[in-house]
Amino acid sequence: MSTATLVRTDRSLEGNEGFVEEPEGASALESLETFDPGDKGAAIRDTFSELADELEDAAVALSSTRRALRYPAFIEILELGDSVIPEVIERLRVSENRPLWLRVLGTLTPFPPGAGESTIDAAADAWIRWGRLAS
Amino acid sequence: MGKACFLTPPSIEDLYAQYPRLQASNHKITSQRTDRYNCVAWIEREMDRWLEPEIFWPDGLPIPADSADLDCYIALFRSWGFEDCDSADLEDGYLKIAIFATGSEFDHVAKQLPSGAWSSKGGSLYDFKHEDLSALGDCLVMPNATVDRFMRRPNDGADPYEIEENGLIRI
Repeated sequence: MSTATLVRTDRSLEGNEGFVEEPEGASALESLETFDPGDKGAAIRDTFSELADELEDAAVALSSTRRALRYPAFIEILELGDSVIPEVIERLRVSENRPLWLRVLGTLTPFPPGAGESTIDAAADAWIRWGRLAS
Repeated sequence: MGKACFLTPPSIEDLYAQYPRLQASNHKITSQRTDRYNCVAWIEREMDRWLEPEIFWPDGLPIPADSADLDCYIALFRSWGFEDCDSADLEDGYLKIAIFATGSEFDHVAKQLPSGAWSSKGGSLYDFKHEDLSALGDCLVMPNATVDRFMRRPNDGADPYEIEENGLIRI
């Protein structure tokens, strides 16, 4: 078994007391707080849902989620902007391909996909907790 | 001694859709479906790690600046004691890995078992034993990948690779 230690970044979501107030994270959070729940929001959520299903199907066998960065569905999800972050976090909660959604979150926000954690379970939990704080 | 059981996956359609060359005669599924680890971690049986730059990556190893990440994975395998070798031929005393890449972009890595068969973890799907490397051909997520880079490290033969061969667990 490998004895290598794993990267732990200073930008971990966990225990980062200044996380909500950090300037580089403020854009996404402000968008969440001002998110319009009206028709436009529903349309974006529907569009996201379709793209997310497409992306999950296309990326299920990827060993490297970096490859998904060039997938059309991934690019279109990014184009939907910060407002879909709650939907991405919900996908992360229920998906059988959580590394993919970690990559999406790491691209939509200034924070690393792995959230400074050492396992997929811990990283997903960190992002879900962050999502609750931001909502 | 506990009894042995085979891990029967509830659904394997996704795997066969992604790897069209897998046939009943050339592979065996050896795990449940899981997204907790990828093929890279499977080389070392790190079954709670998804080893990929920017997700979980060992300290001190290079992180790619762009999509050309193959050298970063090679550096990881070297850190695990692997060195370049010429072929996928089975050699006594060595564990071999075969690296699939599209140009300078890493796609997949498989490990050779003492029987000469190979073991792979398919993305967020299953582990499976396959009789040869060609069984991974035409995979939908790496349609243009080539497998022409092989590495090896000494193996004392003490590990029978039972879980990779048979998917057996002791309970």
